[in-house]
Amino acid sequence: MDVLRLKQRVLPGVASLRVYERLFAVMILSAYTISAPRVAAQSDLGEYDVKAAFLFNFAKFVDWPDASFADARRPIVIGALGENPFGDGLDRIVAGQTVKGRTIRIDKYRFGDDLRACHILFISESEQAHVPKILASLQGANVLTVSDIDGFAKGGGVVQFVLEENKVHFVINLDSATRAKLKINSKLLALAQVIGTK
Amino acid sequence: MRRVILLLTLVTWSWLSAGAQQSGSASQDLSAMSIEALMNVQVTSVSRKSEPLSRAAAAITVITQEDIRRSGATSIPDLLRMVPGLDVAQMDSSTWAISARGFNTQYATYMLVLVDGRTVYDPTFNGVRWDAQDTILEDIDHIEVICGPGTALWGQNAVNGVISITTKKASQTQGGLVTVAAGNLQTPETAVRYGGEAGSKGHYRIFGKYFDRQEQDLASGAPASDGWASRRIGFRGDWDLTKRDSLTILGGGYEDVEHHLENVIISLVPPVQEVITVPTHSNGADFLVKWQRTFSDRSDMALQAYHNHTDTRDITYGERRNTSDIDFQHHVAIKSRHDLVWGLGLRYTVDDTSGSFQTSFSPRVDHNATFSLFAQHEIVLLPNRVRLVWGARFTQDNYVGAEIQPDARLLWTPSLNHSFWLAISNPTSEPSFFSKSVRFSQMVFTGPGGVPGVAVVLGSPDFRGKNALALQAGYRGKLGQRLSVSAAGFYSRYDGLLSTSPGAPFLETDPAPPHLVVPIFLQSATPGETHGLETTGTWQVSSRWRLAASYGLFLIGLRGNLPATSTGTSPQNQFQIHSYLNLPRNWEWDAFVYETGKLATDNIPAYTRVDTRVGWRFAESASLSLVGQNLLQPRHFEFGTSSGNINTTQVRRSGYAKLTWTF
Repeated sequence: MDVLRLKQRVLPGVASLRVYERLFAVMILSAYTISAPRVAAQSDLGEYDVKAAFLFNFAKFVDWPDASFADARRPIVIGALGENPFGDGLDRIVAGQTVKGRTIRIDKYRFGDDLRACHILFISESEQAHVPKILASLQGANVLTVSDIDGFAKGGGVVQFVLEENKVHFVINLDSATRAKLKINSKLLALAQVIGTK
Repeated sequence: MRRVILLLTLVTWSWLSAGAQQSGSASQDLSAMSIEALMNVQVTSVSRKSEPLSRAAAAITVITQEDIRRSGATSIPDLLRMVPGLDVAQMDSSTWAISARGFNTQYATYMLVLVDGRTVYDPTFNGVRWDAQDTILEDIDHIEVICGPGTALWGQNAVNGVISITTKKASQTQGGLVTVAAGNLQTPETAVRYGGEAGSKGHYRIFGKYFDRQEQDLASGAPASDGWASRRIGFRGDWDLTKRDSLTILGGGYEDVEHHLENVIISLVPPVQEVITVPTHSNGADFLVKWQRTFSDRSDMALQAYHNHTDTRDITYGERRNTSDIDFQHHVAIKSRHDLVWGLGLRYTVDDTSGSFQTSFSPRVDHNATFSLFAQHEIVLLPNRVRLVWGARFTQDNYVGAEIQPDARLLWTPSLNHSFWLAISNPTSEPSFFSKSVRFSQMVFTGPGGVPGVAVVLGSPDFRGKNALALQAGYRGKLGQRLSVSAAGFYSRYDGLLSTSPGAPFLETDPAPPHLVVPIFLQSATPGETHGLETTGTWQVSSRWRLAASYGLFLIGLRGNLPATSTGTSPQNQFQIHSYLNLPRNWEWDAFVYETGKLATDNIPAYTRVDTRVGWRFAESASLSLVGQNLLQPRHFEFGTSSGNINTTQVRRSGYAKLTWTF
């Protein structure tokens, strides 16, 4: 008797348990059938795996002034500033890849480092408080700045990632790109949400 | 046991499937994908909404429009069920009791509720008439709920929590929307909205909504005759006047006819008291103007004014209340380490009541003017790591004079994905018009010598609000890209909880016949303390499937004599799990399980509520959803009768179909 009462106290509604056991079972089954083909197609990826792939793609669709490379064999440098959300995803994506005959190098930075040697600079959300200083330090440098931080493009950054219905989209501030003397391929512009005058 | 095994299976399977996705050569495939293809990849992320939250030093929950759409809820109170730590209990068709961290009643007095910046708790009871708070649910942008004190920044009455409802800007509701829902509780429930451009710089929308909610059940299972019909219209306009200035104008009106079961004194000879169906008519209107100006990246201000009118009457009592309010707020960032928000406001409210032997107020008319000044200062103690937020609100009003309510919070963010916070607050509740001025005849009886007697609850002009001290600690974190968790623990001490004390009986001759009055005075004298915790977890199992779960524990202890009615109205344990599943071809299937512990007051048993929704977007502009609510039992009580002035009814099992069309 006491045991029964205890059980009722611990699991309110013992009688109804079966119903949602069944509910869970159905949820598992249906999720499994949905997930199975999806796993094979690998269309379900971490947000930052996809963002890493975008950074690599940006290298293909942006032209830097010749002066930003010391010579024709120098790599394109992708910098990651602040806490690294990519894990080793960024390194794996660019491993062995070349773009316009150049290899790609990943450099990790901390706030305060000289960032002007980068071609693409990803600014982590951990650096939110420093964005104005970072952008100011890059004035006159040919750096494609990229970040997730809210209002980044509006605040003078070049590319800002935005999530729309769980898909990664991006905003380009054309004024910032022009100031950095970067030529952005019109195909990339066509896919972006563009702000700033042309 | 079987449940545990099933849950373990679920965890194991998902673990395996998640592992399978990551162990593949995903990265190399990604580098070969075109940029267009990348833009179409569904990513998993523990929702963006948690990111601003990671900077908040409070137990805060945000309900998004997606959550609202998928909940299947047909009213704002039912939406709030999903908030961890909030008690939501339906009392009859049109009445809810909603509170955070204890003391739940029909007019739970320690909650601040705002709709688009307009304070909607009613100063008569300092509680919310939830039946009067409605809009087209599709037009709500988000609802923020804070469990715990928020008086310093948000406003008065936020002793135990804040609920802030924000509707979408008019620019986000352009074009038409028509929804029709029909089911066993809904005779076709209809909402219509249309939005367009208002000049070259702005947008507007107008809307209307009508429903006639069917009756719930009596304890016997018979219909409770507590039906509720409601009509509502409203509008909103938003203009970007210049690059720096924006203007919002919004307003609306409603008219409700509700029925409640009430314990009414029919006559004094012989003493007769009966539970009868009392029709209640209420209407209201509100109008708000808000001007915002951005001075620079570092400085902005807002000026807001509103007027609110409500009118409620039934056979026992009526009131007409008008409230005007003006608020100014300024925010400025000083260097990179300081952030200051300060503001001031003035509110004037008048309530004109008409009473009966059952319920009356003395004085009949209530006036109260409140001046309020607040400031909150945020200091970065260690860049990106440690922040201190401290502030206070000063108020001066006709009821209690001057008061100051301080608050201090510390936030430690050791990394982007983890944050820990501590808070200490000293909020004060305001006395209500009810607690100072009511005369409520609770019970009639035959006294000594056959003289009729009446037990009367009387407000005390010297009733003061309670002072509370609340300590809180919390953690919020993202564990990988798929899992987010939070936990908050609290301890609150109150020095003046509502209690009653009997007075000396006296003879009254008016109304005839002469009768004995046994007075019961309301007072705020009892000390008490509460503690508990709220934990939540959200797991994005895959891009198509999200699970959210929460558990809340609440314990109360009292020192002194407090009637049981006010201590056992919140459950000790609450557990919820929600599943959101996106199926192919624009189908969605969502399921919700709510376990609510028993209530000591009136011995309301624990119950499990299961709701489910199947949605199908069958065309670009049209969707259909089928919703089942309270599926496990034909009917159940969620709240007792003894702590409110209505007799609660049982919530029925229900289902409805809803068609949504946009153009």
